[in-house]
Amino acid sequence: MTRSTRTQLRFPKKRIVAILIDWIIWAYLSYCAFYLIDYLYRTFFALSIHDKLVFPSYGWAAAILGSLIVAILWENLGISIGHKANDLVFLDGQHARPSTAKRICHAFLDLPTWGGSVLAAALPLLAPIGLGTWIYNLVVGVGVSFVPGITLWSPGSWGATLGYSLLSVAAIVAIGFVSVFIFFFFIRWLWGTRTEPACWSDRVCRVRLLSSDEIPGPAAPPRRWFHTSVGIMAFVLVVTTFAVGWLLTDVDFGHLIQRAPYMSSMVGRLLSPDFSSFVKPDFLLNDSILTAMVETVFMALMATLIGLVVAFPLSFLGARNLVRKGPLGWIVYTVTRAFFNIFRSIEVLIWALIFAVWVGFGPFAGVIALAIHTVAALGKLFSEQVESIDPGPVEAITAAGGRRWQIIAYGVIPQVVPSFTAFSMYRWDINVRMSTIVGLVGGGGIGRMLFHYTNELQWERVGAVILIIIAVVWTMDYLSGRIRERIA
Amino acid sequence: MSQLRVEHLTKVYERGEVLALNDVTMSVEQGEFLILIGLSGSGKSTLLRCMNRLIEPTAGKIFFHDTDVTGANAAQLRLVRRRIGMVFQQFNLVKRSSVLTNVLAGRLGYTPSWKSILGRFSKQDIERAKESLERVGLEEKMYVRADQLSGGQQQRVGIARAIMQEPEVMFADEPVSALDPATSNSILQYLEQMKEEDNVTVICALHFLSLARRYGTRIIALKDGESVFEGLPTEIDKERFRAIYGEDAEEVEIR
Repeated sequence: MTRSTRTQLRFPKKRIVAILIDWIIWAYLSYCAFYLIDYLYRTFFALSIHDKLVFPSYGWAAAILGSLIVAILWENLGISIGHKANDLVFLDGQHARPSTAKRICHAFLDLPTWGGSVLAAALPLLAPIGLGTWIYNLVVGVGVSFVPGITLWSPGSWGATLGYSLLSVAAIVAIGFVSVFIFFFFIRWLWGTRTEPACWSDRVCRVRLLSSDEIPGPAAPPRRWFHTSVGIMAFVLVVTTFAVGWLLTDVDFGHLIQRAPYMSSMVGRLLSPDFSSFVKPDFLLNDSILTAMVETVFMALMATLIGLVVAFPLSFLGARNLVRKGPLGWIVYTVTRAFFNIFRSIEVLIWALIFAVWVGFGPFAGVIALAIHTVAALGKLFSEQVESIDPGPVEAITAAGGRRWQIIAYGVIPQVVPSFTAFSMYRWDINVRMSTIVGLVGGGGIGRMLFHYTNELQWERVGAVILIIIAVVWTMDYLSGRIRERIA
Repeated sequence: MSQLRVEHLTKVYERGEVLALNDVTMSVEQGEFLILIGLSGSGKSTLLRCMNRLIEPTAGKIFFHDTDVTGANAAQLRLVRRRIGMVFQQFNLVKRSSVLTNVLAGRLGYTPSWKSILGRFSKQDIERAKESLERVGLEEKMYVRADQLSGGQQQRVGIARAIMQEPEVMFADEPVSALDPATSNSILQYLEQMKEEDNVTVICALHFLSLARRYGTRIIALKDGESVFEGLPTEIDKERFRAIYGEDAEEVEIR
């Protein structure tokens, strides 16, 4: 097979992703810096608890723009995390890294390149909005003003209004054409074409941005992390995050030790568990620990089974290699994946709250809450498994004239059965643990007892319940682990 | 009328902007053992896969008898595909399924959807599966999992699966590239036997010219997606060999 051209960055997708990553990193760092400065001010200089540094209104714009500029400089003067993540390297002609002077020059040319791109992309969106406002002002009669405070035209005769209205319609059409022209021709000129595949600043400086596997010659020896800008930056990011996080979340281990004596009586009572209502039902709750625990285990089992039955067929719709090519397939895939991701990101406790209101307190609410989360979590895991199957059997059955259903039944399912089983066991494991918690918000089972005893400060009974939970979770964990081992 | 005709077939892979097939035209007669040779990446696999539309061609036409394969809808395409058996370089068996299940999968084109999903094949189909396994000498491995077999045995299961289709044409995509020389010969002998006994047309992509000379009745050589030679195996001399495989190539004998 012949490659018609060397694959260069004709479409700067990697480059855009890279600058976004670097931009976010620097924006984050500037946020951290502002937070630390504010913290210092509040700790040492503030006059009252309400006294803090106030960010000026233009400060946000300045910080966002400033971090873009710093990101561009960083991309040019060193290897940035964005470039490293996208495997991009600047090259001078065919061979070496560009000289420092060239890289500084390129960095400054990159500023108008990115600025122009953002403007050209934003103009078709923003221009009509601005013009619309202008016309609105004209027609309603406020007057026309480009600069706040200076009125260019005050509302007067109808003739003038009509004239200006026509003028502005013409202006909208003109700006429409201009922005389309700018978008298609300016962007193409800026980022290069098929015949001249490099962006404007690259062409001027005769620099190329290639992916590292396209670089001729032997690879450079790896350098120690603290000698590379990526390594130093990663270190700075970790340290900054830890420092800001420490201050932001009020971490204070001294406090933990100071207040330890207050805990001793509670811990003592927890460690002398009271099993009196293990079998004999507790009078107030009308439930014993044993029956509540059985209820909890069955909740987990029901949730896993329901989740498995629903997630199994859905997972084939969420696998890119099985949905049809074309817009319909894309919609099915995207909707299924979005459903998995959205429902998975809502925690079981929140689902339990919702369903406790919907169907009333009790184990059913807990089962539905767990099942919904299980569908989403298993669906995502299953889909990824389906996407990673060996495509060979699918190809073979397609070639033998099999239908879509037959391909799934004979080419896909036999391959995914072991991992599907392992994931389901694993999920059952999680559900046993989660089902002890959903009781706290009205989901029934052992969690209900735990909630009740904690509220009444009956720590001996809380201790008993916790011990039973540990025993059951441990047993389930061990069992599912053994079964998964067998299957794998 | 020839059995299989390819007219001006072109395939461009969009992602890498690679021209895999460039205006290939050929026709195949019933009962031929046609061999496609050429370097890796010369378009042999793409050509085979375009002919039963496992890969959608970019331009050109393909006719199977008088059916226009390129214009066929899904149902027509399945009818064409089930008359064309195919064996693959990596065998493409479901490794965790039994040999019998793998062989029966070759019959899916003839089985109604609902029956096959329940795993219910007719008695005739199971008998047929046993016969085709006997033909490749693997009847005692029927209930063994496919990944328990050696490479050569797996490819024989692949052939048995194709026999289930009662094919008129067999496509073989480098069927022996993953096998040792002795096994390679036996696999090609099974294909030759299908040609001799059932008058099945065989189209086989191969790397080794010596195997091509021994089994082929006709050879088509591809280079960079273009057909550079078409003729009898004996016509390939040193000069032609270099034209196909490049200036530095040396022929390796395999027996």
